[in-house]
Amino acid sequence: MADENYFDFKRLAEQEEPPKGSFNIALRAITRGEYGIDYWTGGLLAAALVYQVISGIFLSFYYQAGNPYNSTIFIISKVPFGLMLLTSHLYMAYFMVALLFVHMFRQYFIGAYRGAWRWAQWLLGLVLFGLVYLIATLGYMLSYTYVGILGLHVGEVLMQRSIIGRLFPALANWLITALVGNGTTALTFQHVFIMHVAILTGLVFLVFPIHFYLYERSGPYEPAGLKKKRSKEDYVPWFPTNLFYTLFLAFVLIGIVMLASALAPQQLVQEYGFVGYNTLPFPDWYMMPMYKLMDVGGLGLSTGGVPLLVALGGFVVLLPFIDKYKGDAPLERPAITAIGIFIILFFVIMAFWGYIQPGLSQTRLFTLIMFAGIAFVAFAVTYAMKFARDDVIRNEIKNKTV
Amino acid sequence: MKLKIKLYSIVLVQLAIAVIMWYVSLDNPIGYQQMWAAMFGVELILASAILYGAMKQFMR
Repeated sequence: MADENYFDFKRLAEQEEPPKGSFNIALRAITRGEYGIDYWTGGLLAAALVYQVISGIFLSFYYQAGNPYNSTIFIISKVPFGLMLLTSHLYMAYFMVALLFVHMFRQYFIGAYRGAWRWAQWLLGLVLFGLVYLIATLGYMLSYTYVGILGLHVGEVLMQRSIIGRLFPALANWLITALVGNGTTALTFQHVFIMHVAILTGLVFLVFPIHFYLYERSGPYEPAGLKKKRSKEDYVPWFPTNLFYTLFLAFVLIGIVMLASALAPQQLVQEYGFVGYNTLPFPDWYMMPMYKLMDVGGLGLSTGGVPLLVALGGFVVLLPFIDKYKGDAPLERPAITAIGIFIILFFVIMAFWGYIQPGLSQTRLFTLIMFAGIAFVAFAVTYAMKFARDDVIRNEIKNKTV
Repeated sequence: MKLKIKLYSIVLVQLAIAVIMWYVSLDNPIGYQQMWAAMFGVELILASAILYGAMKQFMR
């Protein structure tokens, strides 16, 4: 566990001797043990961000907010390499969202949100998570497909039925107008486009350097049991090894995305406004759990869907302040681990269920029983493993004393 | 020495692919773009192999 009073902002100005992170040297030497992919999920996300910005700039040369669907068709069919540009932009966004989950849950399970500045890093990471999710969703709307427009409408309904919308309906309507314009295609897409490429992306570029700075200041998280003193020989210089490793991972990621784009290019679904019989609007996979949750729990404030999401969100925000466990290993923090497993199972099950039975609502009782079942599995498995582990440790101690 | 031969042979393969990519991009950048993207993906993965090999060498 970290030292006391680590929530004090004044401590950021204090220098540590010797520095733990690469705060005072941009080109930090790292140890051999840190050359593992699990240490670099953040690096992969940064590489994905760079790719998205570059491919997004090229796409923006051809995209027209006043003519969204036809300009997307133009990019796909008439622009040289346009289909690959658009597809790789989409697939890299998928990778980015998936990597967000991997990156977040890695820190979650090893308890990396605890300690000086790591709590702030965790909170900023959650802000980045929300921003990337929003950017991805808005990007999906830009092509004026029926899925995108229906998603936009769901977003508006959610805002109207949120706490703000119920208490101050005029404010919610004003907010919707400010965010997505007056309902005409040209203005709506101008707003969505600017939010996608400038406002939210700009916020990412504001928050990400602070998130990274805090990481550089703290260095990689080392669980208390695994902390060891290192000598000079353990470190490898930043140049060229660290640089080469970063580029290696970035190239592999972009290479995989290019291959995936070549093998399965994006199929643009129908334009909004066309009557499509027997077509069900499917959201993208990362929105599917929320979509299904709204199916079974409802959209409203007092019903199951929204409060559950708010509770899960609130839990991850408060996590650094409520985790009082002394141990570092996942099984030494069983309740936190069990809730993490619950969240993963919940998202995966809801996503699959959404694809199997989209739009099929369930009774409240059935939904509650299902959630209780997932919670039981998560908690039972974690605590069974914890008890088994405690037993092994007790036996080892007993054998040693004998 | 063996590593050097491996790295140079990867570069040769990359060069050959790059020539084909060049030809494809001039010939039909819309119709053959999937082929071009697949080759670009392979190029990047080969480049990453070179970087990894060089990195391992520097880590010794």
